[in-house]
Amino acid sequence: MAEHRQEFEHQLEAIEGKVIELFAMVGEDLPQATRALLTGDSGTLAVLVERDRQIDALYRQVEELANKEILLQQPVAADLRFLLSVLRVVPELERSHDLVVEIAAAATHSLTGDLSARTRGLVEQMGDLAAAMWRQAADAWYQRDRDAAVTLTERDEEMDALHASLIAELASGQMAVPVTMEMTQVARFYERLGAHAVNISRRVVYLAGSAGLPGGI
Amino acid sequence: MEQSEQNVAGQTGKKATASMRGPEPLVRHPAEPAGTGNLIFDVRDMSVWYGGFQAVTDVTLPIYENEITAFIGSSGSGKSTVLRAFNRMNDLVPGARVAGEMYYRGANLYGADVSPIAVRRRIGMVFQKPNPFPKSIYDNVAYGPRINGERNRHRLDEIVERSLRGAALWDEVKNRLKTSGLALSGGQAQRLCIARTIAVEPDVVLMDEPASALDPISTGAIEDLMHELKSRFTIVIVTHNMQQATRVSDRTAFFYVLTDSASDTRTGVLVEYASTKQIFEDPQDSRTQAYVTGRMG
Amino acid sequence: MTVAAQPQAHPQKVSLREPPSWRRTKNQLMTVLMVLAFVVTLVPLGFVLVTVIAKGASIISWSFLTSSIPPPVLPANVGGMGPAIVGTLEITALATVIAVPLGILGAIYINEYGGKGFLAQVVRFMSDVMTGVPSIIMGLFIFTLWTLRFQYSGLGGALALACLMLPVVIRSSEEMLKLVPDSLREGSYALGATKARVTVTVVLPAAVGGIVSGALLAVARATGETAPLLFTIGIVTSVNANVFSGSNTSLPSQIFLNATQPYDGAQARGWGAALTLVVIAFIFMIAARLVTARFARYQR
Repeated sequence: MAEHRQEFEHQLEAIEGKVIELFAMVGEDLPQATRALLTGDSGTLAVLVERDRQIDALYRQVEELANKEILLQQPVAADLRFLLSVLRVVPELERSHDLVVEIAAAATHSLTGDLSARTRGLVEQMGDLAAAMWRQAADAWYQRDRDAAVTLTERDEEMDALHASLIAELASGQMAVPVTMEMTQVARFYERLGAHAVNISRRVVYLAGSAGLPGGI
Repeated sequence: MEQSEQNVAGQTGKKATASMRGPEPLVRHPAEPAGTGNLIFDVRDMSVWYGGFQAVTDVTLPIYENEITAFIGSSGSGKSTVLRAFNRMNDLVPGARVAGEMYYRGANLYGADVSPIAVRRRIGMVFQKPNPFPKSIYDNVAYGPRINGERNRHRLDEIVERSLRGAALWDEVKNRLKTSGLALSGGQAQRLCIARTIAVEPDVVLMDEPASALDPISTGAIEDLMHELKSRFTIVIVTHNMQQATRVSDRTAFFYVLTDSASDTRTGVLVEYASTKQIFEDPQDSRTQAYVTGRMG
Repeated sequence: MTVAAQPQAHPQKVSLREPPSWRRTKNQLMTVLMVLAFVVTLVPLGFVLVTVIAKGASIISWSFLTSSIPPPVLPANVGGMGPAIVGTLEITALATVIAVPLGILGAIYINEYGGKGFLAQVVRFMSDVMTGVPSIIMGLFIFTLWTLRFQYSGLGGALALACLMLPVVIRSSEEMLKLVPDSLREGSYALGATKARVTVTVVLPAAVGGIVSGALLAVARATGETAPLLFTIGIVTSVNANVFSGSNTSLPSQIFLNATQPYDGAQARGWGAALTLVVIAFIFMIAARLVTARFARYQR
């Protein structure tokens, strides 16, 4: 049967494309920021700040497009769920990239040499876990996977555990006060990144709807 | 379940094969009803034929008291046919035949000793194009009560005023009740038809695309009226306008034209029936999704 | 308020005039022909009216309208057409009473109940056939069936006229009933009316203007029929108030009789009768218009 509303369909695809771009940018930049932090590379920050500007522009574009389609097209069902989910998810993406930039900024404060081995190890683990959680969140969005929320919630608990360990390590007072204060903030950044990933996976549950589930609602 | 065939106009027709019916319709009943929760219509495996053409096949759905239920679907999907089956208006079409069961408050609508006249006094109908009689406004509204035997002038005055108020038309016409009903504008004429319908105090009001011939302001007035009337009557409406369904109805039933390429026949079937929020936010069937999002006409 | 940019001069003026062509000439030619045809149609009508009025007006008087019919040889100022007027009125009235209710009921049957059934088709067909039967045949029919048995009477004439009126009433009433939109019937059914009630309370009132004017036209036509009355009512020269028995007379019969007489008086009385007949028919036409207008009050 003939499909109508081709123009609307194109607009929706364009929005999806931009959202996926945003996911990709956050997903690539997060490991870079972690590496910069652990190797003390202060050059990465400039790159990521530039990327952040691009992300802000992209974020505003997506919002505008989504607002317009909601206004002009009277969307319902999957279209409406998609547009509403986009509007809720892109702020999380934008905020998450801000956190990534903060992590890279910490790298320029010349702390690397002063980190204890355990701290370094925990930061690396948190960085890897955050990156993994973000890859999973992006996949969940792309595939409309409503089950990812469960997995990501579990991993978030892992992240919380790592966070607690890192705080405990920092509290033991082995490192200088400025370093400890900085790393406390960094610990919080990673924990927040994990939380944003979980939030996104919860939005995907709404986005995916319940069609195909045995027994419906 | 027993299937009884009620022969309305004395003709025979083919029953659709199982393949025509398609997959089981998705009928979900949300826990909290919008009205009293009482079952008004209990429709089971109902099919309607016009001569040899099977217009709808095996429709099963419940209609609940004091709710507004909307029937949506593309042309030819049988929504108006099912609506007209509720008040036996299909009887007026020569060659129309109904199979399956339709219960109204527990009574079989198509039982052997059921009078269609009695059915229509309890189940009223408002039509797509307003059809006021070429009589005065007063006589239009008083028509129903008069044919039910009401002669007392005072009681008729009361009924006319109450019905016109109920249809949100009293203030506009109270000083010209003796003028012709045909002189009213489209929106007013439709409200007059609604007043005429509720004047006999029916139990159910059926509406076949009541606002499709009206401008947006009149449509809004009719929709507000439906919300007010909901507390006194049970309303079932057929509409092509999906935004109207979302604005007005508590439950929505989606009908679809099923084509059987093997025998080159078409028939209407019920595909999905749930709360309006459910149908328009998270439809389960892909055909419902395609229709409500406008991808399929 | 901002001023819009200056409108540019039109580069090329658009012409909306139709170019002179054969089509325009043809249109004008046809218009002229239509007007001519109209005038030609009016001429005989005008001629008749003028002649009847001119020749009959002088004899009309109250005594003319009420006196008995004198022998033809008597001059114009003696006697009148009283019995003929009474005869016409009472015979036509009786014919109407017979034909109109039957005709309306027949039309209701065909349109509301019969549908495509065999009987409805037969009735429809026979009505069409009857409209074409020459009026003298109707007279002959009633003569054989009735007058031979029961002698001349106004009733026989009324029966013959009724046979002429019936198909006209049936067909015109049926057309009026067909014009009533089905949506009105549906609206009535939906309120719980039986078929009979729908017909009587909604369909008939909606069609009544057209039905009545159709009936009045049939009456006007019947008023002027002569041939069927020739065999069935006989001739009298004084008023016969009993329309059911005894010979009677009518204006058309008297016109026929007097026109063939060589006497001036008879001729003058003939013209007077003709003028009276025209006036009666005219009154019926006006009544038809008034009735239609009154019933159309609710149609708009």
